[in-house]
Amino acid sequence: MNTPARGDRIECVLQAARVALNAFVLIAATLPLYLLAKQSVTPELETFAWPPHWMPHHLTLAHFISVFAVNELRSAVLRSLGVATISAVIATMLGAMLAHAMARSSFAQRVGFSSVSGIRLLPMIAVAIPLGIILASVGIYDTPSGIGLAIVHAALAIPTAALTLYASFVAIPLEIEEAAWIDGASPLRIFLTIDLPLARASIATALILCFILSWDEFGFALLVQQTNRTLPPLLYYYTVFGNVGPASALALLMMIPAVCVVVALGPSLRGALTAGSSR
Amino acid sequence: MADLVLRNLSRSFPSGGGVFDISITVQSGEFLVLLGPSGCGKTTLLRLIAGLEFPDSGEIQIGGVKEAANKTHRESIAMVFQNFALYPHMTLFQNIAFPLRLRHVAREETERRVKESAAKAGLTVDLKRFPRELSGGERQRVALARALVREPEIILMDEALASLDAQLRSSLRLELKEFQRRTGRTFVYVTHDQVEALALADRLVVMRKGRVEQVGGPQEIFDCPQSEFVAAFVGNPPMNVFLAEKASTSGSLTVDGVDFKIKPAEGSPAEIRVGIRPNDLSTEEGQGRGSIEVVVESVQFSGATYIVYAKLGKSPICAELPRRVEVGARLKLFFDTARVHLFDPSTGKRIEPA
Repeated sequence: MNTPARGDRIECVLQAARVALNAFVLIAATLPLYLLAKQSVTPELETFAWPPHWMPHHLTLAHFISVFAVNELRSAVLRSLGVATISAVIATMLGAMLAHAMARSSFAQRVGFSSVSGIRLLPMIAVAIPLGIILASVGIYDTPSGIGLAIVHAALAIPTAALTLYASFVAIPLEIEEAAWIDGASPLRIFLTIDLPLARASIATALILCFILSWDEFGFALLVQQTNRTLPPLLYYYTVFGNVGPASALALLMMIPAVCVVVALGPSLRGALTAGSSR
Repeated sequence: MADLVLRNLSRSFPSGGGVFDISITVQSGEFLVLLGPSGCGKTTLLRLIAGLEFPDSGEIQIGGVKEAANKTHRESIAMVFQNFALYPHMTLFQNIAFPLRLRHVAREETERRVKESAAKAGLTVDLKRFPRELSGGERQRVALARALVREPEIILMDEALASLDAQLRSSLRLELKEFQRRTGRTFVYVTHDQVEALALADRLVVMRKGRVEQVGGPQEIFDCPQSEFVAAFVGNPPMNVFLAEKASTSGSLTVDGVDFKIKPAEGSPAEIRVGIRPNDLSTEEGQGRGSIEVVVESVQFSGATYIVYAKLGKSPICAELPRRVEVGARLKLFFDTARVHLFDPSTGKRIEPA
């Protein structure tokens, strides 16, 4: 039998373990961010100081200025925004239709889940070259607008969108759709006026996830937009050429959308991602 | 106004359920109740009428016009679902106006008709509120108002009161009947609750295993059940049914040696099921009445009456009496022989006494 003192001791050890685990997770998550931020405001020479400084001894904004001075950056930001937005909208739209079909028909569910996981299991690089050839043959390879890449990203993001939305469509009672049918609504009308509004929280989540997916997708972006670059390949070139400071500055700037999303939608996003969207 | 005609309607499911060869004519303005235990096909039949399911064979006519067998919406039919199926993201006004919005009805007209049907359904809450803010009874009214707003000829209801508490259910039952009288619409109402069915119905359809067991007015179903199934299903507490033998000397029926003083018609089987309702048993003696002697085993107070559970020989028997009786007492119960029901034990069908 546990004496009260012994119970307290166990409680104490557990508490310490909890604190240690939390501290580890916190450090693992924030240390890289800190280092990145430090590099972005450390002068070039100090960057390579040995032993490395935990705190920068001198501060500079030169890296940010140099990043903004490059013309390519502005067009890359706009292109990345455009590609991410368009691909998120397309993927969410098609993903919603797929998810709804999966939620309502066992056949669609079977086909949907197998094709969705199929896409995820496929080594992306295996389809990269054929995809490039297809895009080139329809004339949307490496265009300034980045539409080719947007389509590729949309295709990549459909499984994510569909899986995010599936649970919320399953949660909508079939009777509500049947009531709308009896009231005289067509299937498309039911989808647009009943299902989509009822799944709106998940739709917002799916849009955001797809946006972020495209925003930091690197492989296809490198291949498809060889000269009209988006941000991730641009960052890659900075790193390759050894510009650690500007690369860090650019990397920090790239995080802005993600941070904005988390700050603005934090609680509701967390809810939608974890709750299986039971309403 | 239009009659609803179901002709040889069949729809079977791989699981074995469904409805088989159903033919019913529902008169315009009639309150028809489909009654049966769960899984008897009453909801399938309602969904066939609604156009949510399609028959394997047979046809549905509304107002003399045959309904298409493919997936098309039926303009003359509205439906109230068991859990009301209100649109949770719309206000009450938007919920009720939804069928009108689909038909591009002008704004003033919509407003007028929504208010009108809300009033008819007895809805008094602010229409700017959302369904989740309402009680079950109010949701029920919203669902009714939405069904009514496009002025359908037939309103279908699927266990529409089942999810409400008992008190609300009985007051809404009254209201619903009144509502139907006032609007003159045809109602087809599905329930497994025989009290509700008897209270609401102009005509009752008792179903079992996908087939119609009996169609008739509530009184007729109660007084003259055409099968043992109907006899046992309708009425609470349920009818007492015993296996009786024909006494060799008199030819009248006996249960465990107790003579019921009833002679079945010539040519009826040697063994017969005998049924008598608990409320047809009484302690009052009378001219030409049959009598049985029972031993009281337990007594339940039901408010107006006492439900007495007793043994007739070895068989359990239930009687509904106005006065309390002692447990363990031997009791002489009398009954009107005209109120005894006879059934064929092999087919379950009613047999008329001689």
